[in-house]
Order: sequence, then structure tokens, then C-alpha cells
Amino acid sequence: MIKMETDKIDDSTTNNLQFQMTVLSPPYDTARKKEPSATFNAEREACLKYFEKWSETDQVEFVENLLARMCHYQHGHIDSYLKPMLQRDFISQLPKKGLDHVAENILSYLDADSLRNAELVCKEWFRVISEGMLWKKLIERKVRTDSLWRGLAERRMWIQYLFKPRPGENHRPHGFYRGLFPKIIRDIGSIESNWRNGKHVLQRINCRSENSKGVYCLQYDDQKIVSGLRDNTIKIWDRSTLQCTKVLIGHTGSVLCLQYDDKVIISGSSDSTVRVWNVNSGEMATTLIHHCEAVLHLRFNNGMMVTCSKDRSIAVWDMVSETEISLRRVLVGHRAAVNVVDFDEKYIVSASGDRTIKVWNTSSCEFVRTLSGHKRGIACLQYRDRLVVSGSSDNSIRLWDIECGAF
Amino acid sequence: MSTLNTVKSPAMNVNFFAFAIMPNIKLQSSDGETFEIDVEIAKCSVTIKTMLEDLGMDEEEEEVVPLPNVNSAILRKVIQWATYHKDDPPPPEDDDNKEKRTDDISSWDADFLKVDQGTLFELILAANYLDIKGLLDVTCKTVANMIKGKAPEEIRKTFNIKNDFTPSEEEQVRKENEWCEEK
Repeated sequence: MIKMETDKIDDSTTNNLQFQMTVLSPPYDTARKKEPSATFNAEREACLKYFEKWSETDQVEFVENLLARMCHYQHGHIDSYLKPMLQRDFISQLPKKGLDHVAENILSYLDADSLRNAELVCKEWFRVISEGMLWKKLIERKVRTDSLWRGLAERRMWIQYLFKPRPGENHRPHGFYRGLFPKIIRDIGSIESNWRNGKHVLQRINCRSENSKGVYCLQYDDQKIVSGLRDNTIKIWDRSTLQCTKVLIGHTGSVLCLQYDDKVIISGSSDSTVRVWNVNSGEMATTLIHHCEAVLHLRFNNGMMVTCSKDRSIAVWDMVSETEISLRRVLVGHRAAVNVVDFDEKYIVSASGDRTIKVWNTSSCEFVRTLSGHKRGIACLQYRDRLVVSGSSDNSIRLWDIECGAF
Repeated sequence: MSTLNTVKSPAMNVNFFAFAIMPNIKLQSSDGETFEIDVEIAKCSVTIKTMLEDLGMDEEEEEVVPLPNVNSAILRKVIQWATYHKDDPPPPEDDDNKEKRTDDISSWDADFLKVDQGTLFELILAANYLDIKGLLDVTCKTVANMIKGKAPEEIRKTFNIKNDFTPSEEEQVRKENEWCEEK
């Protein structure tokens, strides 16, 4: 059980305060410095004896009574005498009561600038910040809440020093994190200035296509880049060495669109087919022959795939495995090539050269509404939550609310 | 004011049933004042809530819960706070994925905490001892706001702190932190 201290101030503090007041206010104190008379001493002792016998409430009432009988300059003195008595050095005093965690909790609300100033207050504050590993905690909180910090932590590898250390390893000392923080700030500064000034490192990959050069589509992760080429192949490149690791041959026309996950690559081509490949071996698993013109775009997720084509139709597929894929429904309505599709559990969204976006119900595949506004064909589109963003050859990007069609 | 350091764990000899019939509970401060309040309000203190659940309370005897670590002035404030907040949803667990804010103190709480630092200090001790998370959070935030945005010397003035760094030590700490000045 933790014992709380009383309000009483010890004598040494009181003496200090009196001393300070002496320096501050000569008229009052010269009067005080005179040897008090014996009568005064006796009377004062008597008063104090009575005072000490009274209850706290009575004492307060009595002092209020005294104060009311005094004049302004006396009040001024009392005020400056009282002020420091009411102040508390929270951060130094809480640990003395075994409440280091409360002091740390207070300081954990500080931003970096304030934490830095807090370190300079006095040795005890410096100690609390150091023992509470508060710079480490501040960095960890930034990494959890800020995607830029998160990305940097992983890319620059200092994430390994954060959170729980791996078994058998210990935390770095607090000074390490204190030093790390400014390094991160500088790193972020240079990244931001690189963006502003267009400073970047450009690496080129030569796709080594013979006659028909061009890249139509790609997707990448930390290990690889998967590209769909005009030379009818899919080429996979190593992210670090930029060397070609696989060439996927099978399409008899340009590879116009592709998407991969951890199991398959699915590609659509101007040969009108959709092909499914094993992402690890690169072997072709299935060919889907359905559209009668170029397959312009496809999306798949969670056992379902949507493809769209120059033939103005959209196809919805059920995917059980990489070889068991069956056509569920064909959505017709667009009056020109369907350039792009996107979907979630609620809606399928398609955009076409006919200048419209159409919304379809994902489970029933029924038509829901048309979003019109673009003055030329629509080239690209993305859909998330309620928001649809579309880019068109009319040089505009439009934002739509999928539920009401407004933009 | 006296501090009772040696009081035994409160309410050791109580049992469970009384609450449906007796919704009030008596709390006794360190200086002997008794406060009779709604059990539900008292239960915002996890310390009291756990104690009641573990031990229950005797129907016959009018049991008083001694709180040897809280004086009557502070206990009165704590009860005032708990009464105002009695219908609040339970405070959320600390979410590490959220930024720590200090600008979300309600105006009632801000007014309630316009007190001298000594009182604020004792409220923190009481909130910690009684395990009232909401009160501890808001008092800690209030102190954090007194530190935020101030230069070291301003912080020292605010809390009446003596700078015990030697000039060279202070220079050393300052140097290690120079990055902020560059901005």
C-alpha cells in the first residue's frame, strides 16, 4: 500500500522561502529583523499553541479571518510565500513514491520537442526519461501510427531494435534510441526534399524483346517484378539484381493485364484468352477461352475473378483452384470496349470507352446504376469503400460516391 | 492531518449479499470523515470494486471502507469526479496504435482540474491508489499539458524546480539533442 504525504512543508523549505523574501522585499523585512520583544514572543507562542489544537477546518477559517484583517502589501507577501508551497515537481516526486510508471505516463504524452526540453530540466527528469526508455517508446508509437515511419523502420532495418527483442537478445541502451531519433528525422527530411526536387535513383531494365518492344502491365513486391509485355510473354525480374528470373510463354498476343497473389499469376491478352500460371514454377495451369476480343483488364480476389474485354462484355468467374475456374455470369450493357474493372464484396465497377462507369451488384450480378459525366472514354479506375476515382481521355479525374452516383 | 500507515487491508470481514438491498457504501478518509455514496459510483474505483467482489459486505453490520491513503479534501474531489462520470462507458484499454493526445480533455474535466499543483498531485496519487483509470488519464494529461511547448527554464519555473546540471553537463545534453534546432 502506498502512503500519501501530508501537505505540511518541512522546515528547511520554509527557511529558504523566508530567506528569498528577505532579499525581495526590504521594507517588510527590516521590520522583521528587529529583535522581537519578549512580550511578542510569549504572545506568539500562546497563539500558536491554541492554533495547533484546532481542527483543520477551524485553522483555515481562522487564517482567513487573519487575512481579512491585513492590507494589500501583506497579501502580496503571503501570496509569494504561498505560491511555491502549492507547486509540485510531479516528475521527481512521483518516483519517490514508487510511482515511476505514472511519471513515465505523463512524459509519454509529450511530443519530441517537449521531451527534449524535459530532459534538460534537471537530472531527475533526465533519469526518468532514460529509465522509462521514453525515446524508444516515442519511436515505437510513431512507427505504429505513421505509415512513413513504418516504411522507413522496415526499409532501414531499425525496426529490429524496436518492440520486444527477439529471444536471447536485449534492448539497446536508451542512449541508442535517443541518438536514433534525430537520425530518423534527418532521414525523413532528405526523403521529403528528394520528392520535392525530383531527386531519385533510376534503374532501367532492358526487357530484351525482339521485334515488338513495350510493357503493358506490371505488379511488384519486395522480391520480384512481374511484367506483361508486348512480345506476348510475361517476364519476372529479381527486385534486387534486376535480372530476369523467368519467361512465361503461351499467349499468342500482347499481355495487356495481369494480377498475381502468392499462388497464381493470371493474365489477359489481345489473343482473347485469360491464362493462369503457377507463380512459383511459372508453369501454365489453365487457359480460359471465353471473350471474343482482347482481354483488357482483370481483377481477382477471394475465389472470384472479373475480366473485361474489347468485346464490350464483362465476365464474372468462380475460382475453386488454379485449374477449376468456371464462368458465373456475363455482364453486358457497355456500348464500347470495357477498359477496366474493380470490385469488392458489394459492387463490381466497370469503366468503358463509352464514357460511362457502370455499377453492378457483386452477389446477384444485377446492374445497379450508371455514373456518367466524363466527356471522353475512361482509361483507368480504382474503387475502395464508397469512393470511385476515374481517369479519362477528357483530361479529368473524377471522384464518385458509389452509393448515390454523385461526383 | 495524520497519515495512517499501518491500517490493515480494508474491509477484511465482510460478505457478499447486501448490494441489492443496500445500494450505498461508506468510505472513510484518512482524517476520519465518512462519505456515504452509491455503490455503483464507488465501483469506478477498481480497487474498491475488486475488494467488494472478493469480500462482499455484511448485511447486518454497517461496514465502513477505510481509505487510509486519501484525505477528506481529495476524497471529496474524487467522489465529485466519479459522480459526474458515473454513466461514462468504461475507459478504453490503452491502444498503442493510437497517437497519444492531450487535447481531448472535456471542458467539465478541465474546469474540475483547475486546482493548485498540490491538489493535482494528490488527485494523481488517489486515482492511482484507487485505480480509477479515467481520472488518472485526465490528470496525467493535464500535467503533460503544463510541460508541453515550454523551454526547460519555463518548465522549471512552472514546477519550482532547481536546475542541478552543471553548465558543462547541460551543454552536453543540449548538444546531443541539437537536431531540433536545425528545423
